[in-house]
Amino acid sequence: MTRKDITLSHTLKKAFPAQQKKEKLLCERILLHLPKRNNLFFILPMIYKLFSCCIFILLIFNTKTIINTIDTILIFVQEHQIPDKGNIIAIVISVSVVAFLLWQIYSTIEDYYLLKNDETIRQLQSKKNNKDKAVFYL
Amino acid sequence: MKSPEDFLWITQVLLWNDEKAFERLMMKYLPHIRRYFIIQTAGNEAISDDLTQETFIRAWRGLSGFGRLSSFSTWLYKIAFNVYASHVTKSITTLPLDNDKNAFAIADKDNFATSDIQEEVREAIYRLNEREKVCITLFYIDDMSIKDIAKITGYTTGTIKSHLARGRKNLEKILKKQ
Repeated sequence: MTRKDITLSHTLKKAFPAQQKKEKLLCERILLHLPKRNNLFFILPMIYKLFSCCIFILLIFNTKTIINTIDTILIFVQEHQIPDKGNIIAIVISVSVVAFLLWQIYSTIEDYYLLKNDETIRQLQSKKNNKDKAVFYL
Repeated sequence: MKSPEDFLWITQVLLWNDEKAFERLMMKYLPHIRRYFIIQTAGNEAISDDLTQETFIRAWRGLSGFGRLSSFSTWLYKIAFNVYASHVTKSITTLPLDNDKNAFAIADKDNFATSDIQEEVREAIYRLNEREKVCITLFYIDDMSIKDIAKITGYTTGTIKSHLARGRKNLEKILKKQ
């Protein structure tokens, strides 16, 4: 860029200053109008979520510690033996990870059904409109 | 330029359908896209807002198709370019012919409360032809490289350079007349 180009760029930018209030309002308007994504886009994230959660679990614990944690939980449930500090931390982390996983699955399924409901409402509306048109033509 | 924060927000949108991450993306790029449309529509803010909305809704729908080979801004501007092109073809068939660009320029006067010189610059840029306007906007206002402009518009680099040169000359002429 030459000096002339830089001054031209500067003047043009100055001629169109930011309008923060209007931009914020527009941003809010767009967020209100965002459509639901396609079914495929709900199934794919679900697979992604499961996959990422599995990796997350494997990264935190190796398989041995997972088995040990399950063992300590079983011992606590069956024989009422209080586990030591390290095991308690492992149990708390694993329970929270499982809860997170379940919550993610639940939210995905909920999204899927919401979308399905939306679609059925739209289908019903279009059927109703078609009926109205038919009546009008008769 | 590929921005790591864009990559992070796009991943969040794709993985979790995260609207907040999309809002952050919007807050970053909305002013640029809106300004692009304001220049293209010769200062018509209502149409610019509608076109900006259309652009971001298309981006939201098609984000999974974003190749990541180009930067997000280039991809978004390409959508904006297509949105404006389809708007022009629609308006040709639906609106009455109104070639008087001054009508828009007068409407624009209330939108930006700035000095007379800036108003003259705006009016001058509105008077350029469509192609010159696009190239000048992307190159001088949005600081895009000629390669990126070529990706967005589909013009060759030579064509873009000639549009830029002609645009500069025309701007000079118009400003001298004023």
